[in-house]
Amino acid sequence: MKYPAPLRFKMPSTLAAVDESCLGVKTWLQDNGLENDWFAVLLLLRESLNNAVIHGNRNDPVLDVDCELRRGRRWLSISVADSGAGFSWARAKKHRACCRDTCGRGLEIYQLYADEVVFNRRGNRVLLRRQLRKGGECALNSNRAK
Amino acid sequence: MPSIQIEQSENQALIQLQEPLTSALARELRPRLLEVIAKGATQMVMDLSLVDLVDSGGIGLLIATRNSLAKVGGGMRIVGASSEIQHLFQVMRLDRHFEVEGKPGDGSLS
Repeated sequence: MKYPAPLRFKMPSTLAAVDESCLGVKTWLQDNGLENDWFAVLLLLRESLNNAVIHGNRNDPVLDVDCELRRGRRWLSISVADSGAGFSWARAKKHRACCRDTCGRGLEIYQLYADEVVFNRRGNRVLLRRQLRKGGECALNSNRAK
Repeated sequence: MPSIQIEQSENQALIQLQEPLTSALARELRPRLLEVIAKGATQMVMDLSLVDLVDSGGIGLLIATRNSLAKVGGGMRIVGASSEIQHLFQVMRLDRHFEVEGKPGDGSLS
């Protein structure tokens, strides 16, 4: 089976650019037979782009966010990098928002919807891998499905 | 068609969204919802029938609005949520704090 070429793009650090990029990726998912899992993939993509724009590049439109989506036989990966100073992802991964918190849920969404979450040492690049599901399910990762 | 429609009658408000409830939309919507509460709304219904995705920024807006309504003794109900959005709210434990209704005929996971 031949897989589509990776989808690579650069975008300015604005939330409007996140919306626009996600629209383009939705079309790419449909064109490549991934429409059944679009909710989870687009949610992961949005969270990673939002984090890069807001926390990484501090909404500075001059700074770019780099993104790559790659489809394999059983996996789809999303790689997002910003130009920021990075963050202490090991500490942040342990954080869980309480019911009244109005922010701080992005990393929890990574952990729920991605099967693998890998940050570079600096914390300004994240790689999210999601196992492709058969059929129209929007399942959580296998460790979280219960 | 505007992406946000707001109807208010005395202490009741109906908010209809027509695009994904994302961080970008949340920034636009937050002051408008605060204005609705300032005008006396205590019971809010958020209609997500035309919304296919909610991100963490959208979730933050829903929580902030619920917190603001709680301060005036009110509450919020979410209606028309797709099965994917209901699933997200469930795994993020939001269904403990909101009354969430699905779309009629949509397979609910809750």
